[in-house]
Order: sequence, then C-alpha cells, then structure tokens
Amino acid sequence: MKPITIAAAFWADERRRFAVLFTALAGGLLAFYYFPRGDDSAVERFTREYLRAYTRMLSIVLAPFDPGVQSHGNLLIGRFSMQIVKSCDAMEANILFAAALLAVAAPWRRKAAALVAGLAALVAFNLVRLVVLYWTGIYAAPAFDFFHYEVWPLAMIVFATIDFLFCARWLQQGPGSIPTMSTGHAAR
Amino acid sequence: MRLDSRARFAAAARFVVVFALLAAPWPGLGHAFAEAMGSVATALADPFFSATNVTFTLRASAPEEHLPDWRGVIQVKQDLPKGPIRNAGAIDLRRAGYLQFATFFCLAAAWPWAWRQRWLLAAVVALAVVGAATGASVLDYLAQIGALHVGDSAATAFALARRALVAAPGMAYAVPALAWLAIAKPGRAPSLLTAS
Repeated sequence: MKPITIAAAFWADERRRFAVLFTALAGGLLAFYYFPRGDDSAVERFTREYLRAYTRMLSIVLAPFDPGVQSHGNLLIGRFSMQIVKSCDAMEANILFAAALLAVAAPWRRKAAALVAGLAALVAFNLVRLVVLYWTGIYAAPAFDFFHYEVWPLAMIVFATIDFLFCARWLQQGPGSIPTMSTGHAAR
Repeated sequence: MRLDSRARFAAAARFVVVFALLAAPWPGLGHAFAEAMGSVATALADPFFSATNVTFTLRASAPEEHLPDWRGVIQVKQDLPKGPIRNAGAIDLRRAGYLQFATFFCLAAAWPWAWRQRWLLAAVVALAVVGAATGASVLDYLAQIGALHVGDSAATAFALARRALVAAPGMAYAVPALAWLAIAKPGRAPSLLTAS
C-alpha cells in the first residue's frame, strides 16, 4: 500500500481525525496562551486588558450582593480581595472546549454558533466559580485553597466536557434544530 | 452494547467516592507521597548527572523547614572551581503529580471494564502523566537556576510545559482524563450491566 493511501485511510477515520485535530489545536492554543513572553508584548498587554475586563465583570455580578465591592485593574477589592491573573479566567477549559468543538466535523456556520454559545456558558460558569470563591474567602477562608485549586478546577473541566457534549450533539442534529439534552445519541 | 444511564450514574458515583477518598487530607499522606516521589526522581536523575558537576536531590520537607506536607524540596549543588553553588526550591507535589495520579486512578475505578484487558498500558500511561507533571516542574527549575544547560528553546519548552500542565489548575484533571480516554473504552458497557 502506498504511503499516501495509508494516510488517506488514516484521515478518513472520523475518530482519528478528531483526535489529531483536537491534539494539534489544543496544543497550539495552550502553547500560545502560556508561552513565556515579555510583559510588554502585544499578547500580554491584550491579556492584561482581558483580565481587567473579567475583573470588572465580576465586580458587576457581585455588586448586588455586596455593594462595597470594587475593581481596580485586575484587583477585586471588597470584604475579601482577589487578584484575577492568568488561569483565573479558566482559559485551559476554554481552550480544550474550543479545540474539541473545532475538531468536530460539522458545517462552519453551526460550529461558530456553538463555539460562541459554549464559550459564553463557560465564562458564565467561571463567573459563578469566582463569586462562590469570593464568599468562600469571606466565610470559610481556611478552605479557600482547597476549593480554588482542587474542587473548582475539576468542576470547570467537568462543565467544559458537558458543554462540549451538548454542543457536539446539537452540531450533529439537522440545521435549525434546537439543542436539547434529552434527544439524539451521544456524540461519538 | 451502549452504556445505559444506570451504569453511567454508577460510574460517576464511583468516581466521586474514590476521588473524595483520595483528595481527603489524610495525615501523613503528603509526606509519604513526597518521600516516594523524591526517592524515584532522585534515582532516575542520578545517571544523567553522574558525569556532570551537578548533584540533584528531591526529598520530602523536614519538620524544621515548616513547609506544608505536600512540598518536595529540590536541592541542587554545582561544583565549580570557585567553590560549590547550592540552590534549593520547593515544589507542590500535590498539584504536580498526586492530583494527576488520583484522577487517573478514579477514572480506572469508575470504569473498570474500560481497561480490564490493558491494565499494563494504563499503568504505564498513568506513570507517564505523573512523570510529565513532576518532570516539567523539576526541569523548569533546573533550567532556571542554570543547573541544566539545554539551550533557550528547551528551557522555553520546559517553562511552557510547567505553565500549561501544572500551573493551570484544570490541567491536573484534564491531562490524565484525556490520556485515559486515549487508551480506555468507557463508552461501551460490559454485557452484565446492559443485559437487563
């Protein structure tokens, strides 16, 4: 068998194609985000602005429950202070979700819609995580690290997986259908 | 046969119970894990440094160092003509090794049929995942202090690996889960579970 035929047969297998595309996309995006570059680079400046916007968004969400909360740059100041740094935005979950969704074989327009909706859900879930961590810091400070580093990261990855399965199922349904958790078969 | 919802729920419940057991703050577990990892890492690194002027040790923290249980201490001595240079750093072995191992173990316990015929492969992959997490942290530290002369590209790769695999908290779960998915077949239930 010619090498080109072997490669074509390999690429024709949907699962293998998904695995290769997912690995390449996730690896590339993770390398781009976590690459150790200088603070004055355009990417780091953009990331700083993004984290500031995240902090502002968090202060807006927290304000109805704690009117004294304020954001200064990437610092959230209130009854408990938090600094929003890289990884607080759950970027690893966003990247893995985006890479998995982009690797699914589906029309690009539907994929773009699923990507936007899925990432919005992840951002919303991460804001819930940060709000709960804020209250954990106030009322259960000794447990903060356990929840911050162990419980919530696991919850984020589980949520990203469910989010992906939900979006992938919708992608595999016909155009114009509404995503539901109870119909169709699991995406394979 | 496809996995039914009862089997899926039972698997998820097993995962949660085993994870709760492994993540619980058992007294002495952190120190024992740090000691075990330290012994293995020091033994594995020994052949690489035997022909150099570097002495490398990874060990559990001593009581007088007042470090948390899960901290491993990296000690590096470089013998130079001007005299030896000693460096020491701490590494959180819970995030750089234990959580990855626990996640892999929980997945294996939750879906035992998925790896029944490939337990050796599962063990090798689990060790590789734990080794990658600990190794990325150790190699990045050694490159930073100049004990490892590997060039800028490799030093950047070590820093990148540590940031992406260890510093990002979610990756402690995602990496073992993806590695496990690559070798296991959790989507298929054993005939015993789907027969009824």
